[in-house]
Amino acid sequence: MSKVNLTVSVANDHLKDFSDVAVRCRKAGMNITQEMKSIGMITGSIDESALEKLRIVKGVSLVELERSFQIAPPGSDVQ
Amino acid sequence: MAKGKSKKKNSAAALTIEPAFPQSNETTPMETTGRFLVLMKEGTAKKNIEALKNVAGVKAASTSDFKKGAVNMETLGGAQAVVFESLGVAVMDAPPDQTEAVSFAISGDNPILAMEPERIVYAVADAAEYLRGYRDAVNHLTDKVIGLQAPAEFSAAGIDQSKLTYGLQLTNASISRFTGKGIRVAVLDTGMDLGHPDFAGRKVTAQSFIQNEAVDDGHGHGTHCIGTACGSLKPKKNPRYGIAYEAEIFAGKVLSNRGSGADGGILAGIDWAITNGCAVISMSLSAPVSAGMSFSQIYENVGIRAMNAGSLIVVAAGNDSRRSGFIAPVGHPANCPSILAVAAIDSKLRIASFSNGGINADGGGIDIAAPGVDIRSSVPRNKLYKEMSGTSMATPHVAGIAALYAESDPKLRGQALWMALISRARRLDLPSRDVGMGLVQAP
Repeated sequence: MSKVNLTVSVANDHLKDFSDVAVRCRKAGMNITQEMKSIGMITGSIDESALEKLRIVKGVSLVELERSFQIAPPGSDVQ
Repeated sequence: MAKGKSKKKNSAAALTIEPAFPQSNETTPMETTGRFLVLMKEGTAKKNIEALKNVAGVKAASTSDFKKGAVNMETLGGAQAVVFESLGVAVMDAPPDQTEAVSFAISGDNPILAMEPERIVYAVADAAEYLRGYRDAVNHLTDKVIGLQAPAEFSAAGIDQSKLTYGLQLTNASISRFTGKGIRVAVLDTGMDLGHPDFAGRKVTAQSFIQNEAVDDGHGHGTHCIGTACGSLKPKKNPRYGIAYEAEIFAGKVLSNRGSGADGGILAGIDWAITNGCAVISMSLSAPVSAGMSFSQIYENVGIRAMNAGSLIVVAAGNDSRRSGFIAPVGHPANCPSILAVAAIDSKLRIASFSNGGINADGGGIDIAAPGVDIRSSVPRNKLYKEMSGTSMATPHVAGIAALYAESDPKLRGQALWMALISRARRLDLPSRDVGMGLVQAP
């Protein structure tokens, strides 16, 4: 099973029970890196096969795979 | 209520609303659609929807009720009004008596600030087109409400940079009476050289979100961006290059010394900045998107939640264009409707060849522009100063100026801060696709 990094958005009407949503995400197989209450987001990783299960967790509104960013190396013409 | 007149569509005669758009030719009547734009106080779309219901029984919906904000603007998705979740503007198509009731509510104890007839040019098919079209209307309304006037004409030719960088001069940051005092500004980037002499004595809170890397800036990008946004009034060596020189600096390292990062660290940085009460969050980072690609719903939620918490996220539009031949779409996450997207111009007010443009729908437009070509600012010791180019350099100009606005009025937070920035922007002789509302101007 390959692991993927991802971000979960907690639904607006579940921000009050943010921690409970995080518990349910764990139960669905998510390995949580960080719980960010101020923006209602949870980051972590999960087996790709468990993604669909995570999407239907009560209180989860969105699941997106992690993106990466790369700025230009020092000395490049455009930063 | 309707007084039996002006029930005809395309007429606003029954309402005591001045035409929003002064016509250069007085004999040309304003072509209106019969619908109205309503400017509402900052607040959630839910509150604004409630207000429209309470004052006039208008049945309103929010853009967020529709999939990916893709509400059909011709039918308003079947509602009497649609509130643009991110911008506090509603488009209303209600019977005259209800329209009149909304107009009577202006300046009362409710979130309705102003309204004006919708111009015919706005009646287009999709929400993104519509958003582009209504920028000028929003600007006019906010000018009217906030009472802000655009500054006088200036010439970009022959700028003397011996004492002040051209970026500070073109944005009027150099003559602002505001300093950023009392405002926390987060710059989420490659960290900062905490020992740079120009920042001696400044209050800096630094945090690394990159595993196994301290906050020290091993790249140079972060120290440069922080320099533009918050650098000193009296640097060790002229010219002055920093805007909000008394702002409190929050240097979050979300990009490694090699310049790489990922959502996890960036979101953690945003969370840290909001938790610490930063009114401005500057992010000179971008991931390219392809034409037709939609924005990230996650970052859009983050943008909205940040604004609700009083933090405005300002992000570089990206450097993927190769003008004049190729204009790349605004990158991720600047392409989110609730994140301020910054384009780069040069000292002659030309669009930078690399600056991305508003190619994609769904909010993927440019919101504002700032100087971003050959920008002098701080870099780690012992070099101390360097000129760099990029939308990365334009972004902290907007962030620093946002801090000045935030200092000027404690009400200017989140969405209100956004409106202040775009309504005071100087119009440029360039398409809004490239520069949004124009060149950012300091208060």
